[in-house]
Amino acid sequence: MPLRAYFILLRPVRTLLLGLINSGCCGVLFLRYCGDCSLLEALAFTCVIVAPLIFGDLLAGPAHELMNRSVFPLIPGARHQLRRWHLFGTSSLAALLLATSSFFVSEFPFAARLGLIAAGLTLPLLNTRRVGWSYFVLLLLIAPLLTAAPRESFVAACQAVPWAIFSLGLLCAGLCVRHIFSASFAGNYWKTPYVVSVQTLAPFYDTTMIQRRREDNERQAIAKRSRPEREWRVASVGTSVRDWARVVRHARFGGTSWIWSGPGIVAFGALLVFINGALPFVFGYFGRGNAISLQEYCGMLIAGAHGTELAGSPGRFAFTSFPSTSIMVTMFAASVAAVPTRHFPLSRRRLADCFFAEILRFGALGCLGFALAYAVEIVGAAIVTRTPIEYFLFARALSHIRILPTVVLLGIAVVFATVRCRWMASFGGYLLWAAVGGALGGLAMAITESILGAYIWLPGLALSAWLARTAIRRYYATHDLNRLMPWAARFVGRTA
Amino acid sequence: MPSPALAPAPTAPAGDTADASPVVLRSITQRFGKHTALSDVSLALPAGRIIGLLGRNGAGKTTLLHIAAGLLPPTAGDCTTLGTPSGKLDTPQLTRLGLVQQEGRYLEWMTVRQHLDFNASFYPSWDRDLERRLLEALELDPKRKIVQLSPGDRQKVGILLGTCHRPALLLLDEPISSLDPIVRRRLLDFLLELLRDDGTTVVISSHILNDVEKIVDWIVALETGELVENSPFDLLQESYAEWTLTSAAGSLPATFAEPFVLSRQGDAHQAVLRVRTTDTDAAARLAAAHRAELRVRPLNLDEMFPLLTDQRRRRHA
Repeated sequence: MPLRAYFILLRPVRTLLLGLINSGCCGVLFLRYCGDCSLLEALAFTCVIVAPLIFGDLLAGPAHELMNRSVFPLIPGARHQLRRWHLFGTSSLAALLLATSSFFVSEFPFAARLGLIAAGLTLPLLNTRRVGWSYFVLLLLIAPLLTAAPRESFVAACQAVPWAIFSLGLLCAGLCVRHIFSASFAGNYWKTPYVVSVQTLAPFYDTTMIQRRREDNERQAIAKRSRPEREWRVASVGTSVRDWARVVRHARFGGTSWIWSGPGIVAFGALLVFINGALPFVFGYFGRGNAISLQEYCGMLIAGAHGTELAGSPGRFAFTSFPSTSIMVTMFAASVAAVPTRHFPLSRRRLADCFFAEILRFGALGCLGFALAYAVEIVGAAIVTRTPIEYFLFARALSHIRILPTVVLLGIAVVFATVRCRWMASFGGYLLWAAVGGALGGLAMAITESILGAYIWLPGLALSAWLARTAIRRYYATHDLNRLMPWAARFVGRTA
Repeated sequence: MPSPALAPAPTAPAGDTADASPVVLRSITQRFGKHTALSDVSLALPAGRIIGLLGRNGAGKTTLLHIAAGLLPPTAGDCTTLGTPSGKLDTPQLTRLGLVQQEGRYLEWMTVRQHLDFNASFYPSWDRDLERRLLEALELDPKRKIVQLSPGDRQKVGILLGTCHRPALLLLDEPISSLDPIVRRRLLDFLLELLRDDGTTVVISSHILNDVEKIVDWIVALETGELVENSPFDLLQESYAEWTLTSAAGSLPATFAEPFVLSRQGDAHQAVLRVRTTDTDAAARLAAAHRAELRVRPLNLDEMFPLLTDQRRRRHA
């Protein structure tokens, strides 16, 4: 493979642009405004930690993509040559990052920088599943490490033992490269689910590629499925929507894992509450100059729940982010679940009604999870602050949460009504609706807290339910039910 | 005389044949969990032939081809491909090996031209002239992205990628299932050309037997993971036949005890028998024994297929 072939595979312009944009957004901006860094510090940490991880992921993507194709094990010398060119690309980028970092970094010794860059560029090779969210999880994981307190300890460690960091970094790089380009891994990687690199999907998520990935993974799933599917018949099940809703639930309507089961949804809702609640504390605690104790934070949560000091408190953040988070999760879950995993002897309209019933169940379980987690949070905060537990706080929390079904149903109505809109298939569309959902949720929350809210809550809920059901029925009547909605397919690495 | 149909499946080949053979399987067993895809298969594929690999769905054809290409390590047994254990195929062997997969995964974001160029960069023997001719014959637009191609066109890409380096051993897994009859014909002509010009050994697995019959000269048949046939096609054509016995007296029996009779249809006046025998006088003897008129018709591969792939069940019955 000459260098030209590697460049065809890598698409250097896209790689460079994506790397710079992502490093700029996730590194410099994040560190500057969330991590409370100076611009110079933000640039330094971006060069040494964030950019290597991002560029490493961009370099690993095309290599994974090639190794994941069935033609790869049959190409003579492909493994050796790919390894050679990947190392070439990695080394070139490492040199570039090292040179760039010299302009901003004074506190990091050269050896430590080299070790960190080498490890950062090669660690993403281990991200072999390449599902969409793994990228964000990685950034979430490194984010707290780069905030003030650990950052200073980290710099101190690099200054104290630079050669140890260097050795560890190179060892890590060597092991990653050795594992990924080993004969056993490269020989079997084509049998794993279909992977696509970021360069292939960018700049706008390529829905044809996503559909191709889904088809391939479906074929694999069918080939692996040894258990015969159960035959559902009207005679044995009945004719009512309730009967069939139970059947489709049993058959995991579009579901892919335990997370779509009842306990899974409740747990997931609860987890979101804890993450929402904990994030301001984490950032406040680790952020330079904003450190607050757990007791202070819990006091703010209680105050937020009372509504006395809601503005600007972490409690407020948790409340306003509920609608946004829940709308994102529900839009995603609903559009994945809209494709039945198997054929049922039901009319499209009846299928739509079953699906709508599933959504109501899903939403109710999610709200239950939110409410339970909120109760735990309030009790926990009361114990930490040693204040008596006031039961009216639960009722108040539920009054905040009661807006969620309306917002979620409106979100679902929007998803199904705008499915033909190509722009909605992009990640930007998804974020826009999440932002709109958040804004609507905040507005609705303010209204429901007023006297007016008590009168419009129930009609609002009924209207949103009617809109959602109408949109779902129309979607089921006019769309190919074998195809996943394009933007949902973006996130689905595997199928039922 | 013992019937060839009832004879045990061919065993491991003799040393000479095995040495000359591009693919030698010795007691290959392949299991996927509880499912056994191949069971104790031993055979040596003859060099310089077009070999038809037949079997019903799930018979183990794809598994066998994947083992031969080194894509799948067998659960038990040894496989040697182009003189090297199939698990250790490296550049010298892979340069001489081509595999066209039934549903291959490619770099779909590339155009056909880009993918061909990409693959060509790995093969010193890549034949650009052959590539051009095949692109024309298969009516494939090189400017199109692979992801936008129909399943048939994607299969054509697989054929191009698997053959343009002029391999010494070409393994084709259902290569023509999605092709239209005209392109199918052209592809089969091309395979004959490869055999003629380069002496390539071609193994072709397909269910479109009418087309395959025109080019194959050796048949390997699998039945639920077991090897049931490994013979020259000429020999099979000579031994399989349909005999129509007509008796004016209506005295034909409901079943025939002769072991070479594989199936019977009809009534007491006329019986249509599918037989397998190399005994040239057997037909006349049978007709004489039942005082019936005899008409003999050779079977084509399509008609032979159920008889070939049903041997194990008949043996057990």
